[in-house]
Amino acid sequence: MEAWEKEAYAAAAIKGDEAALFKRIEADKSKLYSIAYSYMRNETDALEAVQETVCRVWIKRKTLREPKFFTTWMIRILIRVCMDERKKKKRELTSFLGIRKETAADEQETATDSRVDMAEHVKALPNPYRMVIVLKYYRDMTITDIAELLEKPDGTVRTWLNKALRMLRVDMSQWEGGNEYGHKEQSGAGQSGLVER
Amino acid sequence: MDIRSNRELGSQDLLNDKRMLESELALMPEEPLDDAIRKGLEQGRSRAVRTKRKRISWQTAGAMLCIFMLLTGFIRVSPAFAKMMKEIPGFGKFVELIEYDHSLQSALNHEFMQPVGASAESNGYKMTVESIMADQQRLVILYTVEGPGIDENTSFVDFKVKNSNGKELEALIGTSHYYRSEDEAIESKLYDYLDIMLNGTAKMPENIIFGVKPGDDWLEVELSIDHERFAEMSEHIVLDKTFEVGDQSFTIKDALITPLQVMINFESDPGNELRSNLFIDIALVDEKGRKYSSNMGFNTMDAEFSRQFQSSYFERPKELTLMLEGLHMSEKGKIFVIDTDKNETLRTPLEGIILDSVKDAGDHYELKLKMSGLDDLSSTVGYTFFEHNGRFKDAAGNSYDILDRSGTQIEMTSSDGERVSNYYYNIPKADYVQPLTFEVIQYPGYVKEPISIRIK
Repeated sequence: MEAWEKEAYAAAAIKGDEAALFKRIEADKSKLYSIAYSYMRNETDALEAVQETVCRVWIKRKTLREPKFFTTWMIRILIRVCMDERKKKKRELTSFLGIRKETAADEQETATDSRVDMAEHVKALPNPYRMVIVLKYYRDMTITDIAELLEKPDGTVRTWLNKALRMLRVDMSQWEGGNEYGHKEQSGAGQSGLVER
Repeated sequence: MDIRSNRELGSQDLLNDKRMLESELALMPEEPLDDAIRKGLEQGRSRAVRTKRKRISWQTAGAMLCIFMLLTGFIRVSPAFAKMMKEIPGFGKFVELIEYDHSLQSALNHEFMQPVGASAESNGYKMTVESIMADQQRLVILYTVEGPGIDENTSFVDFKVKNSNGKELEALIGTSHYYRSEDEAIESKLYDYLDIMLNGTAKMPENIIFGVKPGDDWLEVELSIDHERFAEMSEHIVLDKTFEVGDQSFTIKDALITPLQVMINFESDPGNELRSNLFIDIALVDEKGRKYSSNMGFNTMDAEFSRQFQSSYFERPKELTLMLEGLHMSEKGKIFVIDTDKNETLRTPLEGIILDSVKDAGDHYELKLKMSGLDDLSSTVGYTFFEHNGRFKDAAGNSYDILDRSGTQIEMTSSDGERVSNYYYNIPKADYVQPLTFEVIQYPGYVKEPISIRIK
């Protein structure tokens, strides 16, 4: 869908046109799903998050003033939904951590184990830290884009990233050599235009 | 949180995990995703129906003012008459609006209504007063507004109501009643009613001027109130009964029953240690178990105060008992300290109460305070957080007025399953030394203790 089309659909959606709203959301569905999935790491939870997001979008659609900010606005809602979801799951997570400690103790680590380990480590981070790690390293967004989505200053996002990496005990010095945190900024590819300005 | 691992993880682990994620994402579940979007839209539609919003603004000319209200507890009745009224073109909307108010429904059923049909027009805007309902204490004006940018979803149109001498009424005025179901088409007209509850001692005027300002101009109509209609319609009961709740003592002085409400006057014992804010679930119950709830009242509960109940007038019960479930109260002497430059809350009587934002509104600042994280019982109450026409201090000890244009505005929202109340206060623009200290009058807190007292 072209940018002007998206804007036209968004404008109609804000005024209450439901078919236009559906079209407009559909245009961003892979973006929505990939962020939700990257955060949740399973299909059921990701779909649930998308559904809840769409529900809130429907309720709040008339509060959006600028049609061209539809995507940013919707992703902000999604981010909140994902982070809320985590609160609900906190109890499950606590019991999971107990088990994981034991399995880690037997020190048998294959490549798959390390992947599972990493995914679970990210999952166990506090909300905002988990979200910035997901957006930065799994969705390849820039600090500026993340800051805009989370409505926080760049500095805050940087601090969260640093703390998250420390918590993960991940040494990023080997991350393809680049800048910012000793790794390469990977913005662009498939993600540009996520944050409208 | 500290996550322990037996070995250091490296960027390679992160990269591996990311690659794994990408391969999982390549199998995006198209159909279930479309399904989730569709379900989300449906869910939004049905959730919105349950979402009520109400913005009440208070206008007061006198010093006597009460700031408590509840959004819950009305009895819904659906009698045949209301059904018939619903079928009168244009009137159905009003019937829906007042469905949540037993007194108004009951009054409508007994044809206690004065048709008006007066309009005012200017620059493409039109306001029509369809009808009014009045007794010696309460006046309800049912009106519509049409014009550019106005529709059923318009949340607030500025209004004014004065007596024929141009003086503001000493009253509690409710507006922006909004209870539409989202599945209906949006009408290009705003339907609302102004709910004017006079302070106990004030007299209902013969004539009032009612105006709204949907655009740049005021649209005004003069309404005459037919006093003969309600002259004989009241019942006064003297009581003087004392009771205690939450270790605080109160006396019920008397009750006045009129077609649109029951007003009960109380007096608080001057020796009460805590500040009483509001009775919990206070209601009148008759011999048939019919319940007349209360959602409004006058004055804080520090000395003499009154509560208004849904009217039992047309039901004509033989017995009435006052029942309540407890008391909302707070400690005296609490403060709220904020930095309006940094938008920070430094001290608050309760964790969930914070300074949300500071808006530059031209000649003053508008403070938006947010109360969240309260339980159901606490979150439906409107608190007099700061004293009306009160003052506050900056860090240099300078004292300033809290500006009070037309009362406090409280916005209660209950969308997304979370209840949040926003309190708006205006302060002057000045060279403040931060932080600012405000004295807190009421904040959330309660005790549950059922009480019942025979009224008649």
